[in-house]
Order: sequence, then C-alpha cells, then structure tokens
Amino acid sequence: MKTLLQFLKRFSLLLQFLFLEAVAIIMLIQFNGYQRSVVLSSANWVSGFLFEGVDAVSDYFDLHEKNQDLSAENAALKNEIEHLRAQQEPAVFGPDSVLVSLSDSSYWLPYQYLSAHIVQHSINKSQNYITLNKGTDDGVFQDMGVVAANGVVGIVKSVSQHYAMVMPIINVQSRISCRLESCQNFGSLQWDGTDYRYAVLNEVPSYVKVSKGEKVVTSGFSAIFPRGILVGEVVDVVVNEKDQTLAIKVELSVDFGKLSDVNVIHFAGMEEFKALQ
Amino acid sequence: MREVLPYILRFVTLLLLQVLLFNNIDFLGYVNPYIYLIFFLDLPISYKTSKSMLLGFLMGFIVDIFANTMGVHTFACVLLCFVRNAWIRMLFSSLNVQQDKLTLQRVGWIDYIKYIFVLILLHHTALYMLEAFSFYAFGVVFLRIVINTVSTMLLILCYEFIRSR
Repeated sequence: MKTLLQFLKRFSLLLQFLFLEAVAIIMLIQFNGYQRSVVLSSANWVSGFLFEGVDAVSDYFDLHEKNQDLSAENAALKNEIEHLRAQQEPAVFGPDSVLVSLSDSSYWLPYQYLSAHIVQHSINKSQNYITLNKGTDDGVFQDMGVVAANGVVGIVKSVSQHYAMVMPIINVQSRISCRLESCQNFGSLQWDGTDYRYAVLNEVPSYVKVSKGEKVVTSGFSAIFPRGILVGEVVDVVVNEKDQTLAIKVELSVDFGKLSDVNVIHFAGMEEFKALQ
Repeated sequence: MREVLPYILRFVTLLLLQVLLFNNIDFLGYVNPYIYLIFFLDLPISYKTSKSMLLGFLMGFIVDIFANTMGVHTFACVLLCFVRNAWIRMLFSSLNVQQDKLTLQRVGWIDYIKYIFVLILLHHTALYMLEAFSFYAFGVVFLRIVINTVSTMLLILCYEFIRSR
C-alpha cells in the first residue's frame, strides 16, 4: 500500500496528464463523426482480421460435424433422386423395379439411402470388417448394401440395436456381383487378401474383350445394390487357362484407408425378393 | 486574488479573441493562428504543471466547443502544458525562479523564439494530426503545421514585442 502511494505520488503528474489526454481522446472520438468513423472502421478491420483467423482455425474443429451433415444431406438427395426416378418411369420392368405391380403406392420406390458413420474398421487383415453407428433402431438390417460417395463399400452382415457390422469388398469372403459397364458381362468381385486398393473380378468369359481403364459397376442382380453403382476401374486382365475365364484386376474407387462416412441402402422389396429366391 | 485576477482576465480575453476573431480568419484556406497560446506561454515559471494542465484542459475544451472540434484543442493544450515546465527547465537552467516572469525582454530574442517555437510546434502538430486523424494526406497536414506554427509565432512575437516596449 505504501509503495503504491509512493508510486502514485511519483507519477501523479504523468497520471494526470494521461488521464486528461484520455478524456480528450474520448471526447474526440465520441463527438466527432469523422474521427469516430475512422476509429470504428479500423476497429472493425482489426476485429474482422482476428475473427477471420479464429474462424480459419475453428473450421477445422467443425469438420467432423460438417462431414456428418454432408453425408446426411447426400443420403437425403439420393433418396430424392430415387423418388424422382420412380416418378418419372413408374412402369419400367427392369431388375430394379421387379415389384412394381405389387406396390400399392402410386409409384414404386425401390431404394432408399440412410447415412451412417464408421466407428471402427480395419484394412490390414484378410477378413476385414467395418462397424457402423446405425442399427435396427435406425432401420439397418442384414444384407443391406453400403456405399460411400465414390463407390461400393460392402454388405451389412450382422446388426445389433445400434450398430451394424459390414463385410467390405476387402474381405476374402465377400462376393459382389458386378459387371463391366461397356459390355454388360458380369462376374463376381472378390478380394485376394493382399492390397486393399485392388480386387479381382472373376467368372467373366475369356472371349470378352476388356480394356484397361474400363469401369466396373454393380450388376443389380442381388437387389442389394441398385444397378450401375461404381466399384472401380480395370487395371489388369489375366486369362485363366483352366476354365477359360478372365481374372480382371480392379482398382477400387473407394479408398478404404480414408473411409469415414457411408450410406446404407435400403431396398424396400428385399423380403419378397428373398422369399421368391 | 490580486495576482490571479490579471490571469483570469487574460484567459477570458484571449479566449474570446480566439473564438470570435482568430478562428474565423482562415486566410488562404491555410492560415489559422492560435493566439490563445499566449496564455500558457506567459504563465509564471513556478506555476505547477498539474494546475496548468487543468487550465489547458479548460481552455482547450472551451475553444473546442466554439470551433466544434471536440477534444482536438483539449488534447493539444494539455500536451503543451505537460511539456512546458520541463522545457523551461531545460532551456533556462540558470534562470532565477524568484523573478517569475518569462518575458521577451528578460531572456532575449533567440531564447524566447526557441522557447515558443518548440511549444507551438508541439501544439500544432498534435492539433492538426488529430484533426486529420489519418496519414492519408500527410503532405497537406504537414504544410498546415508549418504555416500555422510560423503564423502563430509571428503574432505572438508581435504581441510580446509591443508589450515589452
């Protein structure tokens, strides 16, 4: 306290000076439109600059949430596309709309999308699995297809109340019916258990001419996936002499190393489809 | 009271002269002498800085009210008063404080010009910088500072010269 008083006494003149000048400056800014505008605009510039910096940083923390939002939005948009497609061609009897006549609604809506987040997954085993944060409560059931934004991921193998286990393409037990986009020939996509970036399309007859870079898409035969969803691109073709089929090496379009948000495909006619089979 | 009265009188006279006459000169759009500074320059040597700053605040405030430039003159006057005593001590270290008046006659032309030049320059610099409040057209501001420092100084020297006769 004593030192404080001493300090005040010693600098009283300076303090008085600063006080009076501060009052003058406040008056200057408070009562003069021009000076006020200069101060305010430069203050705005400073605060704007700061906020921009803070925003740039906080954007990164929001990315997770934004990704989820975007994947939810993607699912909604895909649903809408399906709605529109079904509205547009209500009576096309293709593999996707086999059950048109059984539906009592005005149009048949075969596929719906549900967004899900991956909570756990592996890429380095021969039997890789993916766990999703959606289960029976959210409408996820066994044998539903799972896709990411850029292609097929896998098929739901088992479901609990809140979680689903997906067998991805990169599981040696996985078999997904695919076809070549250009020539319609189909085969079964398998994984050899080595590199998670590649899988092999078997059972395509050897007379089919396959060129590198050709797209491989889902066939739509199993009703798990709609027809024509991208799986990957042909990178190499080997003829299997024994049974005269091709072993087509496919580079998968989905990067399993970076996967985080996916969509589960709900096929409305699944039970009937199975019963028929 | 007897000693204070002339100062009060001078305060009021200079204030009125400034706000009623000299604030309206605006010669050639540049020349605006601020003769009210005579009051601070002529204060007794022993007058306390703390008190002179208050007077500076009051004078500046009233001039501001009339000139509609709130805060500008107040700031410049307080600054002038804050520096004044230190400047006197630096410039006239041998001056006898007992003899309290600082006049042209007593210190001579050169020292007196030195004394008022620095203080007026300081005052005008603060004044015009605050008025412009940006470095955008600094050339014009600088010109105003120089021209008005000279014009104010000339007027004050005339006044002091006439008074000392």
